[in-house]
Amino acid sequence: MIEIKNLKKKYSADFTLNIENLKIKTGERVALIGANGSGKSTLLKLISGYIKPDSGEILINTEKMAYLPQDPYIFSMSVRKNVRIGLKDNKKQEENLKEILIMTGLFNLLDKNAAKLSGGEKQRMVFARMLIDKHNLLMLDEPFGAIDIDFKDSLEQILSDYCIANKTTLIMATHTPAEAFNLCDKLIIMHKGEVIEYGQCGDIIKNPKTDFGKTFLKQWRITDV
Amino acid sequence: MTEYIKEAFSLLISGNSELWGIIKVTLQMSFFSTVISSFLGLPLGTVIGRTEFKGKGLILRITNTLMGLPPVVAGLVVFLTLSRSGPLGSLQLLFSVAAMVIAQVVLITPLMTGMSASASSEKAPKLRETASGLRMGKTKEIILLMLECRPQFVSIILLGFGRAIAEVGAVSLVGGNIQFKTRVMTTAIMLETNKGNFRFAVALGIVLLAISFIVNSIAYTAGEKRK
Ligand SMILES: Nc1ncnc2c1ncn2[C@@H]1O[C@H](COP(=O)(O)OP(=O)(O)OP(=O)(O)O)[C@@H](O)[C@H]1O
Ligand SMILES: [Mg+2]
Repeated sequence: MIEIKNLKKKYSADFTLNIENLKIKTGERVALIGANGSGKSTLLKLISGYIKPDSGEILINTEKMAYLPQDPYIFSMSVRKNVRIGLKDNKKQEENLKEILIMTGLFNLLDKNAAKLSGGEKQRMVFARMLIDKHNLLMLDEPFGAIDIDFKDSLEQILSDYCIANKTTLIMATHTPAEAFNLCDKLIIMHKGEVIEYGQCGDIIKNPKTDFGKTFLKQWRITDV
Repeated sequence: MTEYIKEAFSLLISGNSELWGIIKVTLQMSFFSTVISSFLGLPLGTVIGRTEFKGKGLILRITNTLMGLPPVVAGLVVFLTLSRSGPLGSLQLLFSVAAMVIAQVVLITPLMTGMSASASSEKAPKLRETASGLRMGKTKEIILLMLECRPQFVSIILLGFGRAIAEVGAVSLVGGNIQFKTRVMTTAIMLETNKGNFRFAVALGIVLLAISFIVNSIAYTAGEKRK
């Protein structure tokens, strides 16, 4: 369960993130959508604790959480070390490692220097880095941007299975309607630092509460879904 | 000139014990001062580089000022500290290799700190966000950041070594240029040149250049391998 109250973060005269009230229940999967600069990454950084708000609070009662930044750091080490970098116990999860590397199509790249991977391979690697461990809350900032269609479908499936198996709460920023609807049951539409729409995907699509929501979903060409 | 070079090599090959003694003291002094300064300066620089705090600008300005510190001034400070009436006079370290190492550490540590701070602050924000996202501890994050800065750190360490081996002023002040004890290549070159003993001076100069070349070649090869 995540509860946000009167959250404020000002970056400049042009941008202030301002969320009065937002609740995400345990096990829910929420897609965070909105234009460039609408505040999706800022919200994820705040929830993950990477940045501090100017005021307001974020209550989280989850034991284990992980956050994948939009532009994650690639260590100039082997793929294997990169995937395991967040693990506390080096011996553990050897089984998981093999499984996750096969699932993300990285098994034959195991010993390659990660700095030399392609953009999509890097993205699959940091995705594997998140899923190798069990988390109750997963925050992903556009995890599939550079990944080709074949892999995207299977990674979506992997993520979905993972969330169900571990009862993981998922918050994922994305620009792709299909990702949002395949993976998430709820939708947040952000605009200029504020949450414009929040609810079940189906409800929002059928019945957007605001004009902005309508226009935005029209751009997504899904008004008639 | 070729005559001098020939002479220099024959001095080296003949195993002139004074010459080899000087080389040994020089390498010892440079090695220990580089190692100590690295252990102090690289982690300190990394911590400064990764953190955003109020006094950061001030600290970086201070280290930059210290980088430009004239070696003789550093030597003087160490001299006064170690002299019999100074605060550390009881240790009786003045005119020893240890005193020279201390002076070198005072000179090189700020340099290494400043340079590693700027090297690490480039990678730090992105690495810190990723580390924070994976709930890594601070210690692990700093160690990883240092590992990621390895190529830059190798250059910084070699630069420190180069400084140490080439320095004259501070070393002659606190070392005293004592024959068979604290005489190093630079102070010996000064002395022999003043005495008009150019052969010996040139021989030392050649060895100094050769060591610099070897050290740089090692660094270069290490850098190439990593690419
Ligand atoms: N560290 C920062 N300092 C100043 N301004 C910032 C900072 N980070 C973000 N901003 C500004 O805050 C606004 C929101 O940025 P944010 O990264 O949250 O957008 P986003 O919704 O994730 O966009 P995108 O779809 O492009 O990823 C932008 O106008 C951005 O310029
Ligand atoms: Mg973003």
